[in-house]
Amino acid sequence: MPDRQPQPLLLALGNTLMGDDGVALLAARALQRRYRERIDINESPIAGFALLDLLSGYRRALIIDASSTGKAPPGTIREFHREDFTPDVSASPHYAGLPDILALGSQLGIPLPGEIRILGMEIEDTGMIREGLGRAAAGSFPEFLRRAGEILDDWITRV
Amino acid sequence: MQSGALDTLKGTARRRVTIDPITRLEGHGKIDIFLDEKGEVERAYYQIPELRGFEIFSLGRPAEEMPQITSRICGVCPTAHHMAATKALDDLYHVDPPPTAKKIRQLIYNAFMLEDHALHVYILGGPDFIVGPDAPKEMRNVAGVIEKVGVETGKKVIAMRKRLRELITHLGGKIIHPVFGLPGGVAKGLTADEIPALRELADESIEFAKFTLGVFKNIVLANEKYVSLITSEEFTHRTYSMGLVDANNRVNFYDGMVRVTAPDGKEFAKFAPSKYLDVIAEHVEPWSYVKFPYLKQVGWNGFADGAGSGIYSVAPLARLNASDGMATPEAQKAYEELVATLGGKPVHHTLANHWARVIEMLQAAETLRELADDPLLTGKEIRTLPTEKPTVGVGIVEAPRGTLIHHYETDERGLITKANLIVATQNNAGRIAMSVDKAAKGLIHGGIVNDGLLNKIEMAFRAYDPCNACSTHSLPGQMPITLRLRNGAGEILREIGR
Repeated sequence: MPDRQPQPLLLALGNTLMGDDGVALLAARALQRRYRERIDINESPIAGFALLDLLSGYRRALIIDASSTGKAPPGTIREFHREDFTPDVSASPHYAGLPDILALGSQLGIPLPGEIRILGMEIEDTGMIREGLGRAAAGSFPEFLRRAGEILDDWITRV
Repeated sequence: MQSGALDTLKGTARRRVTIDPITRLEGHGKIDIFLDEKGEVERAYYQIPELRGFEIFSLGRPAEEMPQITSRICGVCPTAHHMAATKALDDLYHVDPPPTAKKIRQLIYNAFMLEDHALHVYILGGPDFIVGPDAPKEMRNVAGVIEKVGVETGKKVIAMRKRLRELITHLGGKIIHPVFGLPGGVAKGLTADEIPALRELADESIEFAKFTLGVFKNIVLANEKYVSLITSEEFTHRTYSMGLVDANNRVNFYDGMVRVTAPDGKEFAKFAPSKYLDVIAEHVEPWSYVKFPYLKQVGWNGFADGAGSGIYSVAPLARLNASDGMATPEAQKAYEELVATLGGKPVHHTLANHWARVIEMLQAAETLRELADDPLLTGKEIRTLPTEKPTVGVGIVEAPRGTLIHHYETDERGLITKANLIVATQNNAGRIAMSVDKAAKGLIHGGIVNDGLLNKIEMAFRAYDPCNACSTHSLPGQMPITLRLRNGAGEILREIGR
């Protein structure tokens, strides 16, 4: 296994071809200039078991993503915690959840981050292929950047 | 739902049970089960989400962008979309790639199939078969699979997957953004000094695939209960089968003619990809956004089995049924064992897809080895430059989940004027809907719905390895199943979630 990465990871998940689903990728791009020297920034349209490769080797990771819980209006920003995730059988490896990945890492001795924070923005899910954000997601975008930046700044000062 | 809980659905009104396998409420896969007043299943519907807006999004874009754009649509199998789009561009520009380019494409594609299938066998199918369909819910996950097969096997799976992904990345660019496919060829060739490592990886892949076949035999086939579940009528549909075949009618993932066999196993149709619209038509149902593909010559006769129904299946088992066998020796042996064990060909037991998937892993691994030994793989000629005006292009590959069709038309500048995709899960939509309905009718009686029954109904569609959505967000990180029990007025009587 490679040495543990000293820099924290900002991992953005989503798909910019699916409208609001790309909100985290757009956020990661907006945060590039400010953080690229001190934070490893990565984006992926693939979730599921790809998380294993993407998170491996880091001590700290901030995952930013779109969420569609249906329990809050589009644009709502929420920090998710491990207890929000329930290991469950998946109908596709695409949907393998974070708990599955963390459990697998722990069972197989794969070094995954000891500290993972997850920031999600509730999105309007239209099922349409399109680029760009809807009104609610665009309106919350600055706050999404601010919340992500707050977490990253805290880590940078602690390094 | 609490693990092991048993819920008897009381009341006299006609009720609806909804299994929503993902967190979204609209536009994505879910199951609605309608119960009559006696608690028997009237009808179960499996709704597959549809990609909407693709054609509008594509109009006016340069056709050369399609392999990159379409690979971004799907977070599960970007390599399959990239390859189908690249082949459509070959057709569109009327170019035949040089043999070396075709072999490099096949190398990348077989590595992808092997890696994707391995993930399904151990991670997705694993909870159903390796852990067991009746195991407690807490165990029916990755942790349960590792506990059953052992940590060393788990490490082997992860390591193999990692090496295959590294190979694909080395040859084709990042898996999430493949860039190797160009009209008429590939972007990068191989050199002779890369071959020894490739041979080594191919040999390890063959051993890994054989090992996986052993795991499947020891855990699944040695268990009479599992075998009887596989062969049970609840999980059986006698439909047409579709898949790509090579010149000898053997399974091919990358190229060939599309062959369709009838429910009795006889060849029904064999056609070049460009002729797909002569064979496939689409049917619309009022309850689903999805258009259900069917065989035009047979016609749409509802969700029914048999030679009189145009519904067909794709995915591993259908590929085996649509062919005369496997293209490599060890895979052929494994195929013959499957056919003999399950009562002869064609095999119509949906759950046998898991076994067929392992056999396909073996073919993919053996193909890697054959390609590694092929001197043409390191040839210098890797592209035929297009010289003709673009017109119409159709590209078909076998995605892990089944036949994938890309169809583009352009103006003479190469700008898209028409685009159509039929993805594998859509090809399977009719049969998946039938499978879910049949499983629900066979398993739910007297209004009794419990965790085990729901799981077995889900198994009916998981065997097809469906791809349910194209956006990739993972929050809230699970696929909860929500049951909604409604009365005749549509009011929710009870909601059970997990």
